[in-house]
Amino acid sequence: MLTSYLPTGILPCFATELSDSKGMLMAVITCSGILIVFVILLLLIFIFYAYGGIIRAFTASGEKKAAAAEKAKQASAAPAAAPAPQQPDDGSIPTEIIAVIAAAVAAVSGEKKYAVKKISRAQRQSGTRTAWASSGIYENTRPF
Amino acid sequence: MEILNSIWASILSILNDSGLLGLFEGDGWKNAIMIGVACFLLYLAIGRQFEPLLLLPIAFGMLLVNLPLSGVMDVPTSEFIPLAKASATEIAKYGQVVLPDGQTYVEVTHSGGLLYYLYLGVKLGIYPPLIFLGIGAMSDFGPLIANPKSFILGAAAQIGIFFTFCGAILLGFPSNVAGSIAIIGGADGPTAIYVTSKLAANYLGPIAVAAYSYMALVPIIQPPIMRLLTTKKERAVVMTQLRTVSKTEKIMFPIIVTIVVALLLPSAAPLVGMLMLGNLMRESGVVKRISDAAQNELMNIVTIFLGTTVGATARAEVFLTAETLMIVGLGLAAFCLGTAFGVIFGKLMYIFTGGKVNPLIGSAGVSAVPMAARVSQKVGQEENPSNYLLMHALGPNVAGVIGSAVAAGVLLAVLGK
Repeated sequence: MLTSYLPTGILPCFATELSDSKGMLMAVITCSGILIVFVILLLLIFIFYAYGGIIRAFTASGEKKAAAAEKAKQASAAPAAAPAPQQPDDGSIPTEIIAVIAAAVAAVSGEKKYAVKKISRAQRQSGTRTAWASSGIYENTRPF
Repeated sequence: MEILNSIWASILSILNDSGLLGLFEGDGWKNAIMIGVACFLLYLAIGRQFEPLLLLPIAFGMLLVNLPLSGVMDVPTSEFIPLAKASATEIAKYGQVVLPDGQTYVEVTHSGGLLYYLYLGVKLGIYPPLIFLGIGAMSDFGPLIANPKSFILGAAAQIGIFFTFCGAILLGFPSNVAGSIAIIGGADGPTAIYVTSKLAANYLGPIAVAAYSYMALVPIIQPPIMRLLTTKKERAVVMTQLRTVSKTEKIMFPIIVTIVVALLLPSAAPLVGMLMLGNLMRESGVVKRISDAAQNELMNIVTIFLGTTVGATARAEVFLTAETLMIVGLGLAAFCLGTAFGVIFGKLMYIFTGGKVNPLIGSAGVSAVPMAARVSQKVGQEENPSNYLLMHALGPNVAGVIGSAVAAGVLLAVLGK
């Protein structure tokens, strides 16, 4: 039973002295089982790392080419006067954004009266999600 | 008076032919106990909503088969009656055949029970791969493609299967039954049913019930093991966001996995192949109708047939044995070991990556999609409410499905000969 399977090359070391005794059966199935599961899944890890790398390299070169083509196109075309964003010159937050933030605070605080005195950008830890990403994840995982 | 006697006689005749008396004759009490067990499982499915999609049909199948004289799982039979002994009705109904001995007989056939015929889908190993087709069509392998390291956790959680195999052998089970019991640790109902139908079909009832019960109890069984094996600091690790996976990668994934797994382990091809076919239908986007059918209609129909017929294998004489208790105990051990090894390998990844991997995602390496991933998310949020491990845990979770199918392939290859 076992000898017919093992000489396929996966575990040739066991192929010589096999018997159907319990101890040998347990040792062979446990070792070969764990080994085969890990070998196959490690192989898949290797393949998908390599494959992901190739795909990303292709995508990056494609994006680079597209960006270069876009740049060339923009340079050749007449420069259109794009409407400048309503950004105050002093670097402060535009009034529309202040209105949106104030409305969001009002929505969260409910009936409570409040006054916005200062708005500053929160420092985000590197590697963590933005507030919007966190909010999206929260929305999507709330039923769990 | 004569009329009353006739009525009484007919009532007695109906009572004698009913299954009610069967509960009080011979081993009928065992059927009564099984009816109680079936009702308890129905309560768990309906009242407590423990895996109701499967537990409900399983419990009802169990109920049907244990009602005396219901005949739902009767095997079709045929007997040859010599022409001289056959009645005119039998001759007219079944016709005459001449056998090699030169005599003329009437072949009287009795068709099998409804669930017997539906059970052929389990016996021939048809339903579990079809369920895998639906699972594949419903699964997003994106998190796994984005972080292929998750495959390690999917493999680690299968170690419990092989240790439980040893436990079952030591308890005196034959190797084919031990393999079927051990696969419960994969926490994957269709895989457990597939392996058992091939290796030890007589044990299908207890093994399927144990497998689905533990899958339903994932939120209760796993968290204590996860907390025991991890520190507070490890559980609070916030993992970095996964990269975006392109459509091409998602399309190529099922094709590559099928080629690799089926070439290396052909016995896993039916399960992995159907899982990946379902996923390819989903990700290719060109067969949306078929993909929808696999996710909904096909999945629902097969679930009804699979659940009911597997439940119907839990007859009293098979189920009410000391072996069933041992199977339930070994199944729990397999499940706990799988969870523990997943978390231990998660810890190793935490160490080797310098604390970038939260070990809690390791427990999701047992299949039980998506319940095990939700448990990782929930336990992680207990330490850090702003931590979202769900997407990270889904990687090992779907890797666990592939891992358990590979483990099943190993058991079938070694023990199925």
